[in-house]
Amino acid sequence: MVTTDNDTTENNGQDRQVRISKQRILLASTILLVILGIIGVLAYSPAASTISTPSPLLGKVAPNIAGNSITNGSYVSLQNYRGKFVILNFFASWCTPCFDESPALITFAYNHRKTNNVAILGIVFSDTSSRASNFLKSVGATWNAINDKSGSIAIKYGVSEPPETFLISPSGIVLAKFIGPVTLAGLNEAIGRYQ
Amino acid sequence: MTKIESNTEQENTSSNHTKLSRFLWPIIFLALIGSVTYAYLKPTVMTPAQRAISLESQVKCPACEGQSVENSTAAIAVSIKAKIYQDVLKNESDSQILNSLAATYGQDIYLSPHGSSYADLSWIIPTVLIFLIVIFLSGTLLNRKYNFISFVKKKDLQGSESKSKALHSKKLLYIGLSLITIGILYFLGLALGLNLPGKRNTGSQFSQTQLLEIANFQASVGDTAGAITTYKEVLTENSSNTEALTEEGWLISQNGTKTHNKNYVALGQALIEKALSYRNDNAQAHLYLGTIYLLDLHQPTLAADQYKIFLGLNPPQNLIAVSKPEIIQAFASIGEPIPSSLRIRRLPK
Repeated sequence: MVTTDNDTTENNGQDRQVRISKQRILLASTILLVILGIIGVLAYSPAASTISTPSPLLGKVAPNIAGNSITNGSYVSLQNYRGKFVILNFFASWCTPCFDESPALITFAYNHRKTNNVAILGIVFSDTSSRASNFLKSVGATWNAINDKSGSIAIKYGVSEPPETFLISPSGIVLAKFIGPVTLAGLNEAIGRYQ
Repeated sequence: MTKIESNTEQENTSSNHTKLSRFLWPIIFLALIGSVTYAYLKPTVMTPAQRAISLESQVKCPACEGQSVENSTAAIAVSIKAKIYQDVLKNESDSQILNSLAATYGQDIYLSPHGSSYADLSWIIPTVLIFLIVIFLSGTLLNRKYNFISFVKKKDLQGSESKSKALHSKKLLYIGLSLITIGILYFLGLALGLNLPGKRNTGSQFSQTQLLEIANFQASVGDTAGAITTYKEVLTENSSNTEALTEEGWLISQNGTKTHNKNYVALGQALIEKALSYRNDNAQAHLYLGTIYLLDLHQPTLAADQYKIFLGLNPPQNLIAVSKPEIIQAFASIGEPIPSSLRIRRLPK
């Protein structure tokens, strides 16, 4: 077993090649893992309704809303709800996801009935008062709702289409925005963060 | 001595030329940038409706995919259109109107990132800078090797002759490249729709369809006078436009009803009848005419006749729904049964 200089050089070269190919494999694997990780995170991320979505209004004073309630005709103003968390829910009778999210809202309201620290206020989006009122009755909702006939409230809150929901703090600050149907878990998590 | 003086004079002239070409170049570019900026920022006189349409085209419909609110009929787009129009009527500036929307919807509300004049400059200036660099590099590289008058290699030219010709050619090169750059930027500006001299004037800025859209929108937000003016603009271009005739007639007749002016009602009726003389299958015109007969002229028989034609033309359900009380009133007045198409459809449980 005599080793020559040529053999050594050849071995060194082979070692280098092996090292390079190992590095390449490692790099490719890392990239692949990162890509798979991103896909995984995207695939298993919770639905938009359970997490708050960005909005320029977050952390700012909620634009005031006032009008007559379609449920009982009384005058309603967002300012009257100061001291309570407000769930501001944009909905319409023609909106299927609004129907889907109603059990979550009703359960949420029921769960907070004793503490009385949460109020729900509905905003009718592109719908008639009678249809919206019938919708609320049919799902068993008892909270007030204002008909946003001109769409000005929706614009003030940057709403695109229903359902969209905002969590407003007792001092009137917008804390969270939910696009799509809200879930009970999402509402609980959002309010739990600020209570 | 005379020869030396002559050479010195020639050198001085060449030096002056160099100084001149050094100053000329930045002056040309400053003038160019200044003129493009001025042309772009120059305010244009627009009617409120035109301003509203222009703003609507810059705003993305939040409920649609890459569509402007101008081209969208989504509920929120219609509300945004109304808001923009009301803000325009309140004399709010373009930036105020757009910023108020961006304050609630975020920067994504802009259809394109270069929504404002200043934002556009952010890419016009780099373009100009790129041209400057290209010209500088080409000028420097080419001038190093060749004399541009004869395309003779510089090394073949001798002494002051070489210097003078080189300077002259350099100047020509810069002037030529400047002209090319100005031309490119000018056409770039025209392509961007800048208000540059020579821009093709196509008469009215809007097509008839767009004008009708503006007028309908004006009417929907209660700007009756503006809507009538815009319908008239359509009729100036095409006097037989049945939609403009019908809608203008209806607005005028409504104005007559409000002010108890029978002349306006008659004028409105005449315009709608004129529209029907062009096209008798215009359901909306029959509906309007029926309502004028019923509510203004108190002629339920003639009203019912118009409503029958209206219902026979299979109009959209929403049109039937909004006019149902008047139609029922007309048929009830003359003792005729209510047409089957007006019966309430119950939704399946």
